[in-house]
Amino acid sequence: MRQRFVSAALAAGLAFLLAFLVSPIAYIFYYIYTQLAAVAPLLASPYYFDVSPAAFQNAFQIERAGSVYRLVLNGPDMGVIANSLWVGLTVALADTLLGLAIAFALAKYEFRGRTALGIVAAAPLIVVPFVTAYVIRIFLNPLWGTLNWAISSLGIPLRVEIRGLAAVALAQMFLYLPIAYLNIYTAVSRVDPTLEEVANNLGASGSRAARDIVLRLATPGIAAAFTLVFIMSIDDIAAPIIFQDYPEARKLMSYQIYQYFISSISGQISPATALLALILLAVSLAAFLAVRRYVGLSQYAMLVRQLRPRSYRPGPGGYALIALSFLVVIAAAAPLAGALVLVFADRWASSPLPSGLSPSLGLDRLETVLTNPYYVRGIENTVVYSLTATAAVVVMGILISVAAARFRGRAAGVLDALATAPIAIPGLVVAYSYFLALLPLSGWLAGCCPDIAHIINPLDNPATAIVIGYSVRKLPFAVRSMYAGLQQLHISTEEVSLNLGASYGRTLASVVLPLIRNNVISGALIAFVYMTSEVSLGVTLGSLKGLGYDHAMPITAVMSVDIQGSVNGLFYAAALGLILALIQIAAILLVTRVLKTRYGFIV
Amino acid sequence: MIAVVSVRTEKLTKRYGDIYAVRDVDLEVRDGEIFAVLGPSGCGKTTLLRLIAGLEEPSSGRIYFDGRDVTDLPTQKRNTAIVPQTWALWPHMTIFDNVAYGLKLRKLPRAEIGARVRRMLELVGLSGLERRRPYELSGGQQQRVALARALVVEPSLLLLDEPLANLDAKLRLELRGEVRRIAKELSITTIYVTHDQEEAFAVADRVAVMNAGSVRQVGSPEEIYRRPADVFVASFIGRARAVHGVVVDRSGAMVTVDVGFPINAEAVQDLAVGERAVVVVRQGSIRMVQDGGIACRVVDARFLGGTYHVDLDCGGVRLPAESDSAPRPGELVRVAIKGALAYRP
Repeated sequence: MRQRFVSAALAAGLAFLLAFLVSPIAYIFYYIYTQLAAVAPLLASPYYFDVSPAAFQNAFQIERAGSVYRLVLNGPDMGVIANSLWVGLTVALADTLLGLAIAFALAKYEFRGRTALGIVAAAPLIVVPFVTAYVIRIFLNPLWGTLNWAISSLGIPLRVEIRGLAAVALAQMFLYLPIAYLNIYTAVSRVDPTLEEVANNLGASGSRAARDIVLRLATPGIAAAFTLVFIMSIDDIAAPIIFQDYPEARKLMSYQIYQYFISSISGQISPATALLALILLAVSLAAFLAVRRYVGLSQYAMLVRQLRPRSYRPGPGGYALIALSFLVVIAAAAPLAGALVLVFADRWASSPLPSGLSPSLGLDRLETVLTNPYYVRGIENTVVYSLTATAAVVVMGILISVAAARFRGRAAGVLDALATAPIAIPGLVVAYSYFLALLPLSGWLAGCCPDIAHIINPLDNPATAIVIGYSVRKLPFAVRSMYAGLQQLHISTEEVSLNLGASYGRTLASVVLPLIRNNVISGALIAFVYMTSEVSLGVTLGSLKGLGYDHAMPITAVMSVDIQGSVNGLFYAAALGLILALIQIAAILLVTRVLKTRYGFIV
Repeated sequence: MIAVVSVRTEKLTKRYGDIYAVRDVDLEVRDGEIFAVLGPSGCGKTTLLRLIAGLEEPSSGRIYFDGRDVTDLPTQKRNTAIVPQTWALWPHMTIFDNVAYGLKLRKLPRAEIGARVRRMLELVGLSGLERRRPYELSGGQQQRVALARALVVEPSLLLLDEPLANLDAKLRLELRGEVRRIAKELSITTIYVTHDQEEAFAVADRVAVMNAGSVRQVGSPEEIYRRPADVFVASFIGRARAVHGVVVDRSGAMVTVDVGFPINAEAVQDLAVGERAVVVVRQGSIRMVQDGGIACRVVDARFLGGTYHVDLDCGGVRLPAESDSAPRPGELVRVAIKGALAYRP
């Protein structure tokens, strides 16, 4: 009886993922195959790939302007494909190293302010799309930015100009640091402290034991952090949009795909975009598979029961690490603080700090975004899309996690891998694959079933593609949470119910689900929150229906349009960002304090 | 030859907030001795071991190795080697690398490291497994690797924290003999923490019994068994039952305690007639007799291999007995009690 139910759940899970993940993406491959003649020359074009000396010519410059040195950082312009790779790798490397420093300081040293450091370090997990990137742009502004204001206030004869791709990379470093830090911290703190103690007892110093034992055993977590940040960086469009005034910032795969959507309301399909989507996918999947193979080894070192990591009183090196951590963490949290302050500011475009702060200004802006039909439509869209997709995620999450946890056979592993894969698949690729597959499909159905054709047509009704895309992309968070609950539940709990005569469906409803209730709720909540702040699908598919009052854009897409539109748009985007931030804070508190489960990107 | 040390603790105390994990412990471990610390879970024996290893800082008290105060010496400089309960083998290293780690820290030449690791693996019976990873070995083999890793650095003091607790019963019996053999072969001072009385007696030259952070008695296994210092030690060692009563007669070291019926017992502590007392009766000291003795009703009897374990109801007092034959539940029998010990409550 159980086997039949589990088999059915497995079939449903596989069907869902094959239909909405594998097939659309496979269609990109097919499309590229049919367009080989058109796409092949693109790879040879220096616009897409250029490693000639000219690419590095303007990477950085130092020059003397009167009594002040001027440092200009552009980063090399190696063409769209190579730019995405170098920016992604640089961001991932920098965030992994900084995340490692912060995680080690927090996990290994006893010092005053440790709790505060942990909270501030995790704060930028609250995503306020576009606005935080905009604040970073203000920080970096060559003329009146906060960075140069701080440098000149210290009396240093230097002006730093971070532009183009370098600015995109720096913004992404700030935005994704907490993801790196949280993953690494989790990996470090899960290493059994006894392993380190034995090394100490055999004569290893604190730092030697940390290097030989803790760092080595936390490597899979560190590798996972690197990969996650890399994938998020190459998929990011917020930073390239914010810095799009620099032409090089537009020469990224993510921006090119986004730009294609903005100009594709006519329904044209571009082979070049398909090729970029395919490369984006291949690079992300390669990174994901490399780390997935590696993570399997780590399980032996991990604790069943959570012990406090072994910690030390810091020496001079430790204090230097702690000081660096505070500096980095405050810098990384500053854009979020800036984004929230922006709601209440009168001006912040040509000054190092915002001016004319007033609570009434903020309340007026909040009132506007909560009453103006254009914004209200965006909020409604987000709520409708996210709630519908969350319902789908809960149903599919339960079926998939039951099948993955209880089915005996290779198919369970395949299902688990497929359900986790969306973490590694850039949202832009999902968006593009839906567009590419649904557009001809709706045309094909128009003759026989015009209603269905209208529902799935991404130009007339992007909502369908967005809801399916949300549910596929955020499925891993729900599945991981529910699967963890099922693994902690001994199988005999189910067997006793079956033995007493209950069907498996009834056992699931009356025994299993009540026992993993917190995991289900927190999985749904995390998925919902990530949907509300989702960018890739929202700004691409969401923009296909245009900007009228009946637009299909979710909040994030409205923010993107506003921030690129007018000066005042920035403040309304910030107000919408504040609403998103409040939703996320409420969810984090619910998940961690009430449900006592984990919140985060943890692999 | 390993330079072994004697260990002395003086009023050693470890407090977590208001809770004492270890309280005023005075111990003396002689050089070359295998010294067991025996006690129930949570009695503070692991904390005591960690204090001696330098993995915890004492709240007060001192620790001496060969008369030298090492209380403030970090664990790295004490030349002790600990084997934790989980063995804590490093899963990312091979067996060779696990064992060689301590020698590499001491910057020994590569050839010497190789020779010493191989010699030690031979001593613990694991030659040929150098290239394996810990998770490719059985529990017993992992335990031996942990022991080899500790011994190869020639520590002055070997600290074993329930090293056999994660093994099955048969392997435990086999390995406790091995541990004693190796420690004696190397003449290394060893402190062996366990909650298992049989294991402590089988391995150690002397035993300290701990409860609630304090040491209740130190002595040879025989002394501990034959003359437990207090009610706790008497109850903890061997299968025993403590029965409360009043002293009704006294003759030299012997007292008669009325527990509902009279029991003759040796007074371990000074007891006067009329004083309340606790009589500790071991399972093996109650035998069924044909005549005389105390009348009891059989509650239950179970065959445990060799003898029957019988639960008796003797006038409302439950006592454990052993019998060569199987009495029926409800049957009336007569029993004689020998070797009971009386203590103040």
